[in-house]
Amino acid sequence: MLILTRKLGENIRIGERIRIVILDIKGGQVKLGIDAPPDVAVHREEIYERIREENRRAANVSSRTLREAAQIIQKSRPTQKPSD
Amino acid sequence: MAKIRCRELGEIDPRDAEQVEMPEGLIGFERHHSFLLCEHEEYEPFRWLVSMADPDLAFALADPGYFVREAYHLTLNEMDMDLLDLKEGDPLEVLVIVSIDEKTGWVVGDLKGPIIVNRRSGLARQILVYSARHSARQPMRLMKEPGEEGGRFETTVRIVDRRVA
Repeated sequence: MLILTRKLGENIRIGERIRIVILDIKGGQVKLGIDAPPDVAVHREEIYERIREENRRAANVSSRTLREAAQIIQKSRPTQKPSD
Repeated sequence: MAKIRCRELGEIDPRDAEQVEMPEGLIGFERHHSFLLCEHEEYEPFRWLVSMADPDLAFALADPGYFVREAYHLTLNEMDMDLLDLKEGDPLEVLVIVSIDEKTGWVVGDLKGPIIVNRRSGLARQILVYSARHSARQPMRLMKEPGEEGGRFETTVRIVDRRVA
């Protein structure tokens, strides 16, 4: 891993399209500003990992089980939709 | 446009479905950008998001109102707005990804990673919800009338005009 030391207000440039600015340092926290093109997703890592795991699980959802669940829901409220 | 074949849903005619573009893909599935949002009577109220590049990749989606226990407030930042090509008055739809929790067998919705669809531009993005109030595996419940005890809660989308993440 490349390790850089930066002062408040200094930047890091990654390639031509990504710039990271050190905006604030307080206590144990660093506030960063990130300029990146729209095709580069920027997220906090812990939640990103969690959602990635959930998406992978959800990609294998059983259509049969969901159809059964849908039928129970349809029977319990034959005409009502949540969006109505 | 040719029909596509999906393992979960069988044959789909793209003309019967809404096409949704996700420039970044879904988290963990960044190579899939074009999807069909399909409705099937037998799966109602669930919908399916089917990758056009690989139709065997399909996600079940639902209105977050089936899962939330309190108001579901989402915030879009400038990057979200750019990606959705969001303009004033655009009709937005919020959907959550649905799965089955293998331990409990419950139908659960991921309230931490909702999908925002701009129905005008056809662009969509999965955003992250950092609030600890909402779970990534929130069990579904049967809906009652709005305003009843245990009734449905509103989903709102707030837009901030600065870049925050």
